[in-house]
Amino acid sequence: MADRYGTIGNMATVGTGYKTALAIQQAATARTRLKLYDFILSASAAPADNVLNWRIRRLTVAGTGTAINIEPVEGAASAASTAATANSKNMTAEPTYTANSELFQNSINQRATFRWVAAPGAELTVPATNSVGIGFEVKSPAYTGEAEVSAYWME
Amino acid sequence: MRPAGYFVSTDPDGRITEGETLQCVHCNAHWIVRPGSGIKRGWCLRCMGPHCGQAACWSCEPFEKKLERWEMRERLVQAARKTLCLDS
Repeated sequence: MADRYGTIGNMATVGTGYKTALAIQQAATARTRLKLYDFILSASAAPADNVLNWRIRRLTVAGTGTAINIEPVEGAASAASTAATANSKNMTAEPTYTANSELFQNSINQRATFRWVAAPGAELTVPATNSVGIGFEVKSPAYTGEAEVSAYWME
Repeated sequence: MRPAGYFVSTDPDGRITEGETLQCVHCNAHWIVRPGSGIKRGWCLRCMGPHCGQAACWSCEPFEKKLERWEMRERLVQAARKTLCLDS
């Protein structure tokens, strides 16, 4: 049975162009597919009415960012095989994304919290292939505070 | 049509917006169902499921087949690297 893992990412300063708040990537030794089944999007600055545009895309090459901690949802599970934990949130150099690979796109109010959960078998799937993964990008025409994302997956 | 995902959006006043997402049978993408949005989606008669309407998804390649193709390519690359002694 697949083990489940979770992590959090953020973009400290949202800009007018898409920037990656969180990237989850397969390791070079990936043996199983990664299946994203749950994510939560929110913003943490003082409440105001702004729009945040989120999108999720497939990526092939890691960017540069801040380290993340990946925790097993069940404490006894083995460590995740997901790689690139050293450069996976609040990115300053963007990963390389696959063109036309949008997996989800939505705009939410800064005051809102958005949660998505996949039906069993309908997860966002990443192949068991070296360094490929999924990235959460965010932008806003006016909001310049922090945006946050929590993500959960099986592998 | 069976939904492939569920979302809930909560605003500070406690109002909750809920809805469902559908999933593309060709690229794995999800989208929020918004009747009357005007966005053109499609239905694959071979996969018997919805597709997202992106140009590439109008021709049928089931997502599972796509995954296998990606993984096969990776295995070939790894095998070639091993054969050519490119990995240290």
